[in-house]
This record gives sequence, structure tokens and C-alpha cells, in this order.
Amino acid sequence: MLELKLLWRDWKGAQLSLIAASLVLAVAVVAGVAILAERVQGGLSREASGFIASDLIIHSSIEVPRLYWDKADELGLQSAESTQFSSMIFRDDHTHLGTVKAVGDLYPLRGELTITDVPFAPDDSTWSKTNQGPRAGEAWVEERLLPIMDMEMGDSIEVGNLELPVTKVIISEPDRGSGFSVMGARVMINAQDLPATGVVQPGSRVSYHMLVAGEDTQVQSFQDWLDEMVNEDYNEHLHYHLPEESEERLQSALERGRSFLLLAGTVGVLLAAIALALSSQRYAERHKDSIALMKSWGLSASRIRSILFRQIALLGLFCTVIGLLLGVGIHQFLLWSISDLLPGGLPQAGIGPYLVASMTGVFCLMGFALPAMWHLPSIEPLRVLRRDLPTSALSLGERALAGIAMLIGILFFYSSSLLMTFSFIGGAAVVALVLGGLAYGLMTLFKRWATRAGSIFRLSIGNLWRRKWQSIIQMIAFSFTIMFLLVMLSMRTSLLEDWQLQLPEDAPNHFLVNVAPYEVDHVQDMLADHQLQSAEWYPMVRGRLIKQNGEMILEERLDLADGLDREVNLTWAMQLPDSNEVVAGEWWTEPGKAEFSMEEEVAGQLGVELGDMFTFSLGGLEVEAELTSLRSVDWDSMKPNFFIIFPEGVLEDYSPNWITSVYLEREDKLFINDLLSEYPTILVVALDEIINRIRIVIDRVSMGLEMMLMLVLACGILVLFAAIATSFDERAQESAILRTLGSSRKIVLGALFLEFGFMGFMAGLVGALGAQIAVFALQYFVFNMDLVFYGWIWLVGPLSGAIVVSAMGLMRSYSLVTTPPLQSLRALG
Amino acid sequence: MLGLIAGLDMPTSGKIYLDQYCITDMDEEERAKVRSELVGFVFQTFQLLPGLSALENVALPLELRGDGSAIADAKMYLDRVGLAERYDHYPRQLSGGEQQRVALARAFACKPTMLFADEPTGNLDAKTGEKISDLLFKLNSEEGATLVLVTHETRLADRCQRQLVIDAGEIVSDA
Repeated sequence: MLELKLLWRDWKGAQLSLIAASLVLAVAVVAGVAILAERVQGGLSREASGFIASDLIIHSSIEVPRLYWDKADELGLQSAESTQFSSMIFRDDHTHLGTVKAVGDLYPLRGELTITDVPFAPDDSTWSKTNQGPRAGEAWVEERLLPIMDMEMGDSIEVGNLELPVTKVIISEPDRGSGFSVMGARVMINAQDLPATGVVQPGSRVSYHMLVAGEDTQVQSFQDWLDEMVNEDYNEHLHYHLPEESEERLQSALERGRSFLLLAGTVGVLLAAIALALSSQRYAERHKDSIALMKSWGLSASRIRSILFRQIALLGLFCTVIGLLLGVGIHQFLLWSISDLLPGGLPQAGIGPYLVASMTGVFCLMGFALPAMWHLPSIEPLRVLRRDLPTSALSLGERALAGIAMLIGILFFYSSSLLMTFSFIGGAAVVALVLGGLAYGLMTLFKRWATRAGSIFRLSIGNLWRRKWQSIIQMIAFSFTIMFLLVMLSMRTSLLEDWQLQLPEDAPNHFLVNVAPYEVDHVQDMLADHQLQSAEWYPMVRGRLIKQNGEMILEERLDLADGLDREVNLTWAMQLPDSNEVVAGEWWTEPGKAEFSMEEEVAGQLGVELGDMFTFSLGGLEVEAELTSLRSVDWDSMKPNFFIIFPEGVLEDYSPNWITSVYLEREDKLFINDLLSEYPTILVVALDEIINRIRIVIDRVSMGLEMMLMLVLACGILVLFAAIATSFDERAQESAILRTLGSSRKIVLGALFLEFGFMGFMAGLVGALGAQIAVFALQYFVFNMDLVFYGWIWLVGPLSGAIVVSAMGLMRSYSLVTTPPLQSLRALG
Repeated sequence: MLGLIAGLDMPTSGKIYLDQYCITDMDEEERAKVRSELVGFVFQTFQLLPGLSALENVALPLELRGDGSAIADAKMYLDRVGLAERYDHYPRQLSGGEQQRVALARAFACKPTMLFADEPTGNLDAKTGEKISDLLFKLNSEEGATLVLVTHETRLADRCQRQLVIDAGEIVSDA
């Protein structure tokens, strides 16, 4: 095939390497990102499934009807039951109101239980993971139950009428959740033992769960079926949850990770597209002569067009295949580098990512390579005799238009968001204009200055000025590259910092609840003895909101306010807690006044106003107080947080309990044993395992981001190469002439070094400006984080620009001073 | 002028006949067809494609015509211009004389009825130029093509059967 032969010769003659590399990288970046994103997303949602131990869970206050189980069976889904209730646990004369969970043999369907034989072990060497709960005739318990019941492993406890030996300690269970709740210690038994306990009677407060797992499509069908069942009578007792709803903190990390991947992929494609446009331009430039020659041999324009078109199509095909293979390789490498963090295998990606990547290749060729070559068939054959004949190439504007149209296509195809597409394109267009303007201004400035500088300076600035439009386009390309890389780097930094800030190493991981007033001092002493630092202590009084401005608040209205529809913990404080911010009204300065502050979200749900009078019922006694402020609360702070806070001197008489949170290292865990032996009524809620799991997932996402950054960097380097190559021929000619005229190697290289260094520096400067603005915009609009100013951008941008561009420029141009000038001139034809 | 005669360019007025065709009445597509049937070129700047080897440069026009024996023919013509050892050399690895010999091989390999040469020795030193013109005339007589040659060199012009002298766009002699 002729076209194949021509293509092969172009390749051998090193005419295609940049075009091919750009195209391969564009496809590879998209393939890598898309495959990885789909697989990791699949894997992570499976991981997230661990948080509800299934792919879908039905909560119910009545036994889940047979119908539901049959439907799950019919759809080929796995299902498992779990039943949870509070029940007194007995052992000799010890009692504890435990939280009993009776699980079926298949529980958990997703995620794993972590168990051990050694309670309060200083490290995790004795832990093991299992995907099955206790067998019939055994009980597994939370370790804090052992000191409360004064027992050892293997001793028996009584649950209702049934006596069961404790065979394992539960370190973590997948569907425990991190939501703070004051519950009794966990006792897990097998569902087969449940009837024998005799605890569950008609009318008992029991929460029934049906866990379901299977292929996405099966789960989706089941979910659809559930939605249809919404009108059934008993449905009011049932509601279902999906993994996505389980962990908000984790979800937001994943969401940001996904946004970053998307951003990185988009930037990668954009950079590769710029490289492709530049290298196609050069390819077209170099092919003018051969096309003119072919026409002089009698090839018609249509024949040439068809040859070119087929060549491009073939090139696209090859590059897409190689890009896809490379993308698969890249994602494999990314997976491999984080494999020790990934649980088991990941689900395979579907055909989607491959399709997206292939389409990217096609789009890139049509938008960036074709327009640059469009005019080639119409080159006049007379050019073989008169090389100065003007060619009617598509104008820069027309090519830009084609490029932008394709970019819109790619971005939309990629993000499925018109808003994102147009804000990206609009932003890029504005940035290009501003960058171009700035670059022009700076060049004018330096040109004036250079007239007074040494010969090398004059030469290099003169060179830049003579090719000012080309220089500006090169600088825009450099600036974009530097800008994108800086944006990626700083977004990565700011994401990681933000995550670490959210979950600092010493974030409190245990809550101490239900501490009696007379125990507080002793507990504080005990903490001090163990060199443990607790967060603030808060008193807690249980109370219920009943009246607003003297009128009873209807049950339905309270139901709207998530968290106020039941007895809530009321507290008092004179200082505004760290993780709170007053958003309306004023925080009090005087104690004793009957006023209070409410969390803004529930206040919004309830529809209240500052100045309203509210009545609270505290164990039958009523307290009336005025709402004087609204607060925003950072619920992720891992410190005690409250919907409602009073000033001191209002609630003291209502027998409060105290709460605090504390950070415990694993090896300090024995402290809990000591504490609970001494104060059996204190409740310790351990969140350390949940926090660890969240941290692991965040680490995983972070690693992925780092890898993506490397890929984007590769694209950036390609752009630099392509941009430098666009002016190579001219530079080669000038250098050869200078050498012929007797300029020393030092002068020629010095001038080139300055020229590239200067361009790199200026591009870095404007790139830094663009990056700073883009980072602010991204932090604000996309990642919803606080604005952070990065001073280093302004140093790294210009410096790395100058160093990298001049180094690459010199590397590419070094041959100019080592080959005899005549040979250089001859090679250029 | 050469461009006009060869059908690469169009006059603002007047007609041009090439062989039996009035190429000024044709569109570019038709002229291209005529060129492919009749015409070959040799240029002052050789016009070899830098990315192709000597052999590929010669074979390319044959391949574009769909000639099945393009490579074999190209080899034969390269042998005839004395470059049997240089098949795989790229233009930048060849001397000026060698490059023009490749160009000659390429021009004759297409078996043109008419060969247009634009200052074929203009870029070469006197000795090499002499050799190239020898080769050009030798091949031309062997292949039986009509050679139209533009040159400033009287020695080269003297080897032609008919000489037209053009000065400032006017024909001043025809001998």
C-alpha cells in the first residue's frame, strides 16, 4: 500500500516522530486516566461498599418481607441478614446494655471483619481479617466489653436466655460507620442463635437489615424495583442505602480525586493537542516542497488529498493502537505502584475508556493535524521553480477555530459538562490573549534594554524580535505548559494538605462519653498520667425541643430537621468551640442569660429566626431560652460537636454528663482497659479503625494523582520539544550563516541560550500569573476549598521555565555548532 | 517561462501548446494529467526529498503512478547514473553532484517525452557541472526525450540543438 510506504519513509526520515509522539501521548493519557479511573472507581465503590458491608442495604423496623428476599434471589443477587437491638448482657453480677447484632452466615457481603484473640494488643500483629461472622454458639465482642464484664477470652456471657462463650474480639466491622453514637458495646452472634435468646419479641425495638450484593446491573434492577415498591403499605418501615451515601468524608475525597484525575487528563490532552498542532505545522511546512514536486509530476490535487488523508488515517490508527497499549501499560504501572494499598483485585474496565481514548485520537487529528495540512493539496506546482511563491495555508484564525471546535468536542466528550467545557475553553482563550499580550510587552521592553547590552544580548533579542509572532506563539505554548504544570503541582499540594488537615495524624480517635461530673477530675488525672491529651470537655444534658414562641412544634416539622427530631445533647460553653463559626447573631459574653445558639443547617431545615423563643424539655422539666446566634460546625473535626449550645449558668442543675475526645495510639489502648475497669459506666467509642481506613483510601487517591502528574509532565515536555522544533530550521540557517561569517561557537550558543532562556523565563513568569489565577478559581469553584496563595509558583515558574527551555533548546540546537555550516545549509535544502 | 511551458503556471494571456495539448484551455486537474504523461523535471536545487533515501527519491514518482516495478526501475536508473553504491544514502549524505545525479535518475525513470531542466548545473562547481551535463545529454539521447533547458552557461547552451536567448523578457535570438 502506497500510503503505508510513504508513512514508513516519513517515519524513517524522522519527519513524524513528534506528531506520532503527541498523538500517542494524547491517546495514552486519556486511556490511562480513563481505564484507571473506571477501575479504581469500581474498586473504590466496592471499597465503599465495605462501609455498608454490601452494595445496597435495606433498613427496616419490621422483619424484611419474604418478597424482598425472593426478588433478590430472582435477580441473582447475594443477600444476607443482620438484626440489631439493644439488650442487657449478663455475666455473674456484671451487666451492660450491649448492642447485639445477629448476622447471617453470608455477612458481610462486602468488606471484612477485623478480629483478634488478644484484646487491647499494643499492635496489629495478632489481628486477622475474615469475611464471615461468628458461627452458631459463639459470641464475638468489642474489646471494651471485657473490662466492663471483668472477663477473659473464652468466658461466657448471657444474651437473653442464651449463654455463649466469647471467642473473638472485634476490632472493626465494615458497616459500623464513623457516625458518632452513644451505643453499648457490640456483641455479635449468629442469626441462628437469635430465636434461642428469646429477646426479640413482637413490639421489641429491633432494626432489621437486608444486605444485598452483586453486579452493578443487578443491583440497579433491584434498586429500581425498590423504588417501584415505594407505595406498598409496609414500605414506610423500609428504606435503603447505597455505599455512596455511607461516608461523606471519603466521598468528598474521592470526588476531589476524580475531579483532579479529570483535570489532569484534560490538561494532558490539551498539552498533547498543542504539541500535535505545532508538530503538524512543521510537518506541513516541510512537505510543501514534496507536494509541489508531486504536482509537477502530474499528481492531481484530489489524488494528493486522498493520499494525505489516508496517510493521516493510517497514522491515527497506528498511534491510537500504540497509545491504547501504552495507556493500558500506564494504568498497570499506576496500579502496580499502589498495589499494596489496593484490596484484592479491581473490576476490569469496560469498553468505554478505550472508546473515549480512541475518539480522542481521532478528534486530535481532525482538530489539530488536518487544519495544518489542509492547504497542502492546493500548493501550486510552480513552487518547484519558485520557492518564494506564497502558499494559501489556512490562516492562524481558521486553524485556531478548527482547533477550538475540536477541543470543545474533546472536552465535552470527556467531561459531559457544557459548563466545564466552555469555562475551560473560555478561560484558555482569555489566558492565551493575555499571555500573548504580556509576552509582546515584555519583548518590547527587553528590546529597548538590549540596544544598550552586549552583542550576544543584541543578537538574541534581535532574533526573538524578528520572529516576534512565532516567538509569541512559542511563548504562549511554553506559558500554557508551565501554567498547567504549576496548576497541577499546586492543586496536588493543596489537595493533599487539605486532606491531611482534615485528618491530622493526631486527630482524636476515641470519644469518652457519659463521664459523671464527679469522675471528670479523676479521668483527667488518669489521662495526664498516661500523657494523653484530651480535647475540650463538654457537659451534656439530654433534651428535646418542644415549643417555638410558646407554640408546640409539630412532629412533622421536627422531622425535617435532621438531628432535632429526637432527644439531643445540649451543652454549655462560654468560648465558641474551635471548629465552630458564628454565621448570624452574636456569641454571648455573659453567663446565666437564657439564650442559646443553633447549628445553621438544622436551623435552616426547621425554619427559625434569631430572637425566637424556644422551649426545651429536659426529663420533663421545661427550659425557655432565646435563639441569639447561628453557627456553622465542622462535623469532620473529630471533636465533640453540638447542634445546640447554651451559655454557662442555665443547664447546670439538670445533672449533666461530660464528654471529650482523645487521641490514642494503638499501644496506648490498654488505657481503655484501665479506665473502664475503674469507671465501668463510662462509654468509650473507638473511631480509630474507621479513621485508618479513610486515611488509606486517601493515600491511595493521592498516589494516583502523583502518577498522573508525571504523565502530564511528559505531555508538557513534548510541547516544549514541538515548540522548539517549529523554529529549528530558521535557527539552523541563521546559525550556519553566523558560523560561516566566523562567529565563535560561544557566540552562537550564547545567543541561542539567551534566546531560549529569555523565552522560558518570560513564559514562566506569565505562566505563574495564569497558574495563580487558575488555582484560585479551581480551589474556589471546583474543589470547594479555602483559597491558598502559593509563593513558590512565582519562583519555580520563571526559573524552571528559563532552565528547562534553554536546556532543551540547546540540546536540540547543539548539532548546529558541531556540524560544518555548509552541511547544515544543505540539509535545509 | 519554464513554468509556463511545463504547465506549472498560467499566462495572463495567450495560448500554450504542449505536444498536441492546448494546456491553457485545460483546468489544473487536466494539466496535471498531461504533466504526468509527458513531462519530467531537473532543478537547480535538485529538489530531492530530505526524508527519503536516494532509491526512494527515484522510486517515488513511479510508485505514485502505480508502477509495480518501481524499485527495480529506480535501481536500474541509479545504476545508470553511477550511484549503485548509494541506494540507501539520504540527500544530506550525498555531495551536490551526487544529488543532481539522483535527480537525473528520477527524471528519466519516469520516461518523459519532454524533460525540463532549470539551471541543472547552476549549483555545482565547473567540473561536477560538466559531468552532470554529460550525463544529462547522454541519458537524453538514450531515452529519446525532448530536453528543454534553461541556463546562463553558454557552454551548456552550446550543446543544445536550438538556442533561444531571452533578455528582459524578450526573445533576442533564436538559433
